[in-house]
Amino acid sequence: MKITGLEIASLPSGRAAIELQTDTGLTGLAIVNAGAVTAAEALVREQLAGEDPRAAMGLWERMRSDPPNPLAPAVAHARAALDIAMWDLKAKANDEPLWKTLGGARRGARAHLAWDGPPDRRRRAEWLRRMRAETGIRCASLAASREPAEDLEALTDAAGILGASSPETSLLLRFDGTGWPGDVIRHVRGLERRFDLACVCSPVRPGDFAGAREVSDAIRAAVCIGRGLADARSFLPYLRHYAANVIELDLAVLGVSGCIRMADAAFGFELPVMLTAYPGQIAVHLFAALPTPMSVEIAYRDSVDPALVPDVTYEAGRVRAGMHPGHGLSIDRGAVAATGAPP
Amino acid sequence: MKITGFRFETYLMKLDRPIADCNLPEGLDLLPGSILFLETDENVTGIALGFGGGGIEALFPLIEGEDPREVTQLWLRINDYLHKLGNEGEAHAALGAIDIALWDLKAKIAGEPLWRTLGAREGRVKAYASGLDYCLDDDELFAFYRRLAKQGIDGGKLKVGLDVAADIRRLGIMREALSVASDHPVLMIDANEYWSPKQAVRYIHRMEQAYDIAWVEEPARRWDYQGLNLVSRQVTASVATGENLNSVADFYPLIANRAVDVLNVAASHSGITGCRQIAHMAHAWGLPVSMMNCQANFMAHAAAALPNHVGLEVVDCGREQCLRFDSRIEDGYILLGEAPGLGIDIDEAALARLQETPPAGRGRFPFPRREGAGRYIHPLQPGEVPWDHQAD
Repeated sequence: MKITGLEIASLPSGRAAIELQTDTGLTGLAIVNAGAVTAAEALVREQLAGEDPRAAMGLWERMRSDPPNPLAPAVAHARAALDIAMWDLKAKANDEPLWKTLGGARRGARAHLAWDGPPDRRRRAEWLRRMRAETGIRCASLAASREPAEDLEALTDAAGILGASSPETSLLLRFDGTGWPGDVIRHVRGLERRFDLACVCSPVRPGDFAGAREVSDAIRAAVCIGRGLADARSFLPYLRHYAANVIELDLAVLGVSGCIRMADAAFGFELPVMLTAYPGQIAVHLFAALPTPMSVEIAYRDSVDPALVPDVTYEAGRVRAGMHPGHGLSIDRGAVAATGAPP
Repeated sequence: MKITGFRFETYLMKLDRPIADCNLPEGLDLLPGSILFLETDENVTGIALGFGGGGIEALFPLIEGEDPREVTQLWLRINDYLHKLGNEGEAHAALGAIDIALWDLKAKIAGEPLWRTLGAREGRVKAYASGLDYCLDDDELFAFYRRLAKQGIDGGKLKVGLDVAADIRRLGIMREALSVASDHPVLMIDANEYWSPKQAVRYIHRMEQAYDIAWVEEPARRWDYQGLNLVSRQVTASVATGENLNSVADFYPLIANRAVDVLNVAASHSGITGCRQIAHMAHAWGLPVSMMNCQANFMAHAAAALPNHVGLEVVDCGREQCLRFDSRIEDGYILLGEAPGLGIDIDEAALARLQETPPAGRGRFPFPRREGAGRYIHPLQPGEVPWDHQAD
């Protein structure tokens, strides 16, 4: 099987679907931000054309080391998307779902709901309520605000909707990765007087492993690190300094290959892993195969994108990948056409 | 596709030449072997090669009726099952064997060589020569490394530990033998945990005055993270260790305490899944790994897919009497073929012959630890090795 090219379709959400073409007729799909399309085209042209996509791990390594600036956001996103598309192809070539290619079992993934829509209390509550009813998921990740009072409000809403007394319920707080340790500690300690938080994600600036450790030492919740980290080396200071209690694997920049490698490293350090949301909930496939999976993020934006057709089902608060070959995500061309997005 | 049964065969094999380290200078030429056959309802069989053990029967109910393609989750299931007992001893050997046979099956089902299933770009792995040579005289030592150097192998690992002057001389012999492959052969030494840390520092310091040494293997006990760290800081060579550990959990203290510079990884690290976990953990830490020797170099499949692999140990001592395999050494690399799975077929007739008429020879497997180890050097006794040494 050889890679022959890349087809791109713009999606109404502003993202793009990229489809790796092969000489067998099989195609591999991934979703990228529009800004990463050019980098993806260049990577295919310069590094992937003519290669066998079943060599995904090796090609991931080559893409990781060859470009002049492999950690530039557009390159990292494009590389990860192409890796995902190659794993999609690898599974399709075996005529099996990706979770099986990865050696996983068809087990439902524990999941948490993440509101990434506009800061609208009513809409957020509505979505959580609907998802709770439709999926049974009782865990949520809330974006931390600058005001502890707003966070208390959001946590109160979420705890009420999800059922705070259930042992299944977990509340996570996501910071935007710009905080100072002292501020974060004060902020979280205030919230912990009323709420039992499972995790605080990205509490300090990227690379501030000492700050992450300081936060971890001062609060009860676990400190979760990893969103946006595109390379094993970026995790190293956190591992060295015992500064992350949970590792977040961001499929959109680590790809499937990078997630497999970092998950094994996390297992070696006895650290649980969370999987960042990805269109079509395809991170569920990884949950089924990794050694210490904790939760998969289900994001509002992905859940309401009409162009995305995932192959997952929800059952008693768990997300289960389907049996379609590959990762199962497909694009509803009709929805794309209806919204007028260019093909 | 379901796992339906298994067959576990054991046998004895006589090597082409004796092998030894400083814990067993006189060496042995008889090794136990085992083959696990994992059977499925679709007439595809996975195999795993090992050195005995057993214990498959106790773990088999955990995988019976399951799809072998779900190998990493089956590994976890067994690992979790062993939680209280520990991933050790016979259970450890059984977990590793089952995992290897599952990966063989997974690749065979996909109709591709295992290196491709594991995502490698090519079935090609850098090799280095390792004589397990403490019992080889100087001429045999030269002949072994020259033979492999003629296949392009430009690195060698010498067994050392009991006589520094002789070890320096023999390192020179190895270097000379390898010089046809490279003007700058890579030299490594292996003490198999004989020394205490400070003994190691003094001994290696003297060897480093004569030669540039890439790594020293097991200069202190396998679990002694402080001792290994001390050696690593005081000598120029890297410290390699890990071959006798069981799993990624055992490597944690070594990595976290910076006690290892090169990780020796192996099939005995809880199979291919466990070995890969360790390599990936090392990769995150920026550390290289080196694959330990194995029959027919089958772990080259796993090594080919690792981003931080530096070289596979080739011993080439004749352990493949009942195996037909699809790999060869060329230009210093192990080249894996396109045969599905591990690319290894069992010669059942040869296996039956070995079982019916076990070979005779010298066997003290597993290697014991020698007198004085970790405390003082108990000198080589007359007749203990066939080369010149400082006998009392």
